[in-house]
Amino acid sequence: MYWVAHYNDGSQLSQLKPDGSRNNYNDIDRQNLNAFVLCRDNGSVLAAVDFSPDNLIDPDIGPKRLIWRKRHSANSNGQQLHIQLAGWQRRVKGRNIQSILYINEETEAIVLGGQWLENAPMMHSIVPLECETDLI
Amino acid sequence: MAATVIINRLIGENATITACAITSGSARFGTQDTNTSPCATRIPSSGSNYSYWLTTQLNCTAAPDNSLTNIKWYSDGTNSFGTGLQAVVCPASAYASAVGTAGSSGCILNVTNHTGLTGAPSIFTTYTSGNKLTVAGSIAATTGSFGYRVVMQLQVESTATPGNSGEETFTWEWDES
Repeated sequence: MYWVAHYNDGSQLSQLKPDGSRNNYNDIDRQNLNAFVLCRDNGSVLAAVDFSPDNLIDPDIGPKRLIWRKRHSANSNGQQLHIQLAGWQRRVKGRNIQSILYINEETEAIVLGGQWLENAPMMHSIVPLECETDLI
Repeated sequence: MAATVIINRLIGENATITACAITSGSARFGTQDTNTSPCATRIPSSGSNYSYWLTTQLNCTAAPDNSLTNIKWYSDGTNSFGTGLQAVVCPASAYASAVGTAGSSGCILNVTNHTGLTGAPSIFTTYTSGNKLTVAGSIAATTGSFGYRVVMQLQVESTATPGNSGEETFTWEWDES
């Protein structure tokens, strides 16, 4: 599974380069993002998150900010679980709100989650990266 | 390529730490600083004896594109070790080799005996999927051990019964970007 960032000017940045190397999540132009797409290894689309400009003229609602992670768990019995997180966070009336897809890499089951809760088994917050300082 | 991470048990003297990958059923509490079939912890006639503390840490063997962050640790919330047996857990910023008397009891896990602990240990069932232990640390686009260690110890009371204890499962979680 890999991501493809689609931009407003029609261009795109794929996590996988033609030569097999990889673009970094940090390299995504988050200001010009139109859609964030997760593709299967065969290139077919599994899920997509819309970032097209919503032209909101409301000072209490900020723009959508991309969030993507792979959330892994591994236990002492050797069992592993891999979940892709893809979605957005925006500020609404001073509060951060989230809308995140949680995608089981093995089963492709998708759950749409809302606000992060720190006591939630899966739907809890990330640690923002330097490229995500606008999430803080 | 996605990052690859394994769970290691750390044993040995501070200057020569040995990392042993934990696979199903391969990590045992005992009274030796070894990963396989350590001496049993003696059941006391009164009071408590302790296993040698058991130190675990994540190790990245194939680097992420960007980083591994947001490390968590938790149990299933139920003590299945058996009667008279309890375990405690605490993160540690530094490694300290387990010490004690082989075949009898380890030194109690506390901030005096293990100066790397971040605080007093807690009962391991405190940490569940809904209340995960936050483990400090991260790793960038490279390989190697990362994050604080998670140190555990089994406490053996006089009410315990001889033989192998029940098994417990512990889970680590982390985010990759």
